[in-house]
Amino acid sequence: MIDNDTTITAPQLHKFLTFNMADENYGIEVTNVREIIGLMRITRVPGMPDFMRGVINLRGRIIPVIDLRMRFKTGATLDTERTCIIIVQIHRGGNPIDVGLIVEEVADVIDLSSDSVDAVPEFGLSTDAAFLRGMGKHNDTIVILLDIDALLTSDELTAIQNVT
Amino acid sequence: MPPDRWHLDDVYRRIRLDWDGRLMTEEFDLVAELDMLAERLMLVDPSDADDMAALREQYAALLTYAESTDRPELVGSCAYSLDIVTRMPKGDGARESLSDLGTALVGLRDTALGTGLAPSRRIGQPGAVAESEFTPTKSAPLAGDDDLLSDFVARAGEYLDDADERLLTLEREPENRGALDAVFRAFHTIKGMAGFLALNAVEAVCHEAEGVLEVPRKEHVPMTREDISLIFGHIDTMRSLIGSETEEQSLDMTDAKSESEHVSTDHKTRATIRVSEDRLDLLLDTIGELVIAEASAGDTIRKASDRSDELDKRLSRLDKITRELQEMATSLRMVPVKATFNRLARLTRDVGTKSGKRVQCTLAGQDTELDKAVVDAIADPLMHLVRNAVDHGIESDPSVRERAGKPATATIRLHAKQIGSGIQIKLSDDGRGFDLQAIKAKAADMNIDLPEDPSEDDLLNVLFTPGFSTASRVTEVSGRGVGLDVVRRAVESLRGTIDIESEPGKGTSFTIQLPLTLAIIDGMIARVGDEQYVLPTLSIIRSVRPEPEDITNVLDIGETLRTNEGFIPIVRLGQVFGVENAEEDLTNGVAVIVSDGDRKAAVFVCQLLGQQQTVIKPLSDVISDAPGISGGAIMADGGVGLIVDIAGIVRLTLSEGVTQA
Repeated sequence: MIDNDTTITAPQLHKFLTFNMADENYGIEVTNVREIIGLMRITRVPGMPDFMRGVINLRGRIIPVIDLRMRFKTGATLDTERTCIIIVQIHRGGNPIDVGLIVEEVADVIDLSSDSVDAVPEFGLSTDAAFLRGMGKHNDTIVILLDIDALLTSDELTAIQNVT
Repeated sequence: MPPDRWHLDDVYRRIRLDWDGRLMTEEFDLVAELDMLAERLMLVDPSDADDMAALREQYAALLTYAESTDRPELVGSCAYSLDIVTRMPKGDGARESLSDLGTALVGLRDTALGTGLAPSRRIGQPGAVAESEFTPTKSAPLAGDDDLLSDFVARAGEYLDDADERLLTLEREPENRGALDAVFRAFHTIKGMAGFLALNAVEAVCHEAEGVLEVPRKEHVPMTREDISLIFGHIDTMRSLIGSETEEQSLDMTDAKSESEHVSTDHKTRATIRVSEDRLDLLLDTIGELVIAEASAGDTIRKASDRSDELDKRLSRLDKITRELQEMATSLRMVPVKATFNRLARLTRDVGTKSGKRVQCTLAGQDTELDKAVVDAIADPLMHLVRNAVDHGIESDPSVRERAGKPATATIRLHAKQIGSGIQIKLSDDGRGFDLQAIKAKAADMNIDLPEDPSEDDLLNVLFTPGFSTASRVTEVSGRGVGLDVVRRAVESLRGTIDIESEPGKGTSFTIQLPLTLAIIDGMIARVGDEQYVLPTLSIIRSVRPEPEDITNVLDIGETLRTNEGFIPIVRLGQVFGVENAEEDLTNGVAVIVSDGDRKAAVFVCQLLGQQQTVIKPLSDVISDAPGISGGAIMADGGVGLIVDIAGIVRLTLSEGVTQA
């Protein structure tokens, strides 16, 4: 009999959607992804932080869109033909919220087993490390895995409300 | 026999009857005690000190007994009755108190016997029925049926609302047979429904109410005030019973509630179907989508090169149907303000009775319709205003009123009417009005900025200052201003405005302007730089192209625009929202004169693109607090437009000041 509770469980497989941004590969777990849509008109909302590009109308619902590069302070995402919006569902205070992420290019969906994911190295006190879930190794490339729920932390939201 | 005596006799008779049939109850002592009390109540002379002392003693003994049992509901009722006895006024007020005691006694008896009013026994609990051996134990095969139950809740609610309204009529015209019969019918119908569902407590209360109504009906005598109060009490008891009952019985209470609160139409004259609010909202959403899809399809087709007359004709037909569909869908959410107004009339009566003032409430325009969501949301602020008006606005002494040439009975007037795409609700009283001097003094105490020689409007506006309300001085001296900031906030959150007018000695009136619906907004689309914003048409007075000689920059503090109605501060929308490429030259753009109810501002935009009805959508939680933005709207091209929060932007600019670029 196999005891599931022991540490010797088989490595779990997770599917990740990967995309390229500033020459790095990033991945988010596909269970968070609701759909991928092309770039559409984004309405800027005054008083929001830079990384909050604005809002879009997704089939009658208004959804905020975040520029991931701005979020990671690596410059603004360029709007090209390949630029798209990944609609993800994040959880904040127990409520699911749909949020769009602008990325320059969606790459692939890959399988990563939990034993091929390393912990995030220490970056000092950088808050950005909070949205990192781990470093995945896929073939010969490194995929930076993101923790979607941490993208809009309560700290960040307080910051949003204080911008006037 | 004087009416109060008659009433007490009736109470006595009913207690007696129940008592005779229930000799074997475990609460024997208590019931006997109540029986004696009922007898004493009939004979007591409120002006006789000895009589009253004896009555007080008897109630005190009752309370002591109640405290020896572990039944908190008994203790509560006894303490309440004792309180009435202790505070019983001499003279006229005593009749009312005696009548209250009678009502309380009936309630106490029911509690003692466990026949229903007691919280410990709610119908629908299997054990509850068995507890009282004397209530015929009905099988309750239907009691668990949620659909039937929620239907009952809804219908009983409507009947009770109706009864409430008719009773108010009866109070004014005690001889009104039609109203009397209608009240009776309401109880009778509810009794029937309750019986069917085996809701024994509701049935019992109905039965009691019918008993009270029986005599004036059969003997053609007018209803007494006491009886009317008694019936009002029955209505309240029923409301709370029905509320608690469904909580016990229906696991899916939220569902039942939303259905019961749903579109209220006259069940007697029209056949109606109840639809859950969720499904209705979904329908509205989908129709909103259809409108947008239709518009963009039409756009594409009209731009196409190979368009034909045939296609154009069909397209315009589609366009027309879509628009009709949208209008119909919107009207589905419309309900008359009647129910809310009737509740307010009832509240006026209750607060008046409690504070010993003679107040009547007159209603006008009850059939004015607006969105159910707006009706629901405005009820609380209106109640607050009514309570304030009766409590503080109306003079306590009728002779003061008469000396001022006003009728002894004060009047609260509620008037609703539709104005354009909005509705106006006016609530006025003929009380003493605000004491402007007291407001001025208090404002000085609180360091509230006021002009050198403040106008009446300036002073009345101070009442809306947060925190001003709690000032005891104003409450005592001028009587009003409790929580008016809260009322204003509530009105503004509905995209409405509130205005106040007051004349010392003559009265006060509040004018509330509200949009008809929250789902659709009539908006003016304004271009600012490359961005578009929606200005609610309801707040717009007019728009002007500023002439150079009308623009003044006052000491670099702020720009003002000279208009017929004086100098109006200019709010540069582009600057407030940080829009790039916004027009800098005021004479090249448009100034939209808006009002947030009391303050005006000239909102400067680059261009007005036209008026449009847009479907309002909530902004995502993540950005719901964007300053100066009240929501989002789906525009005809499918994009998102942001709706400007006029009151917010005026406040943001004028109070905190925007530094000039």
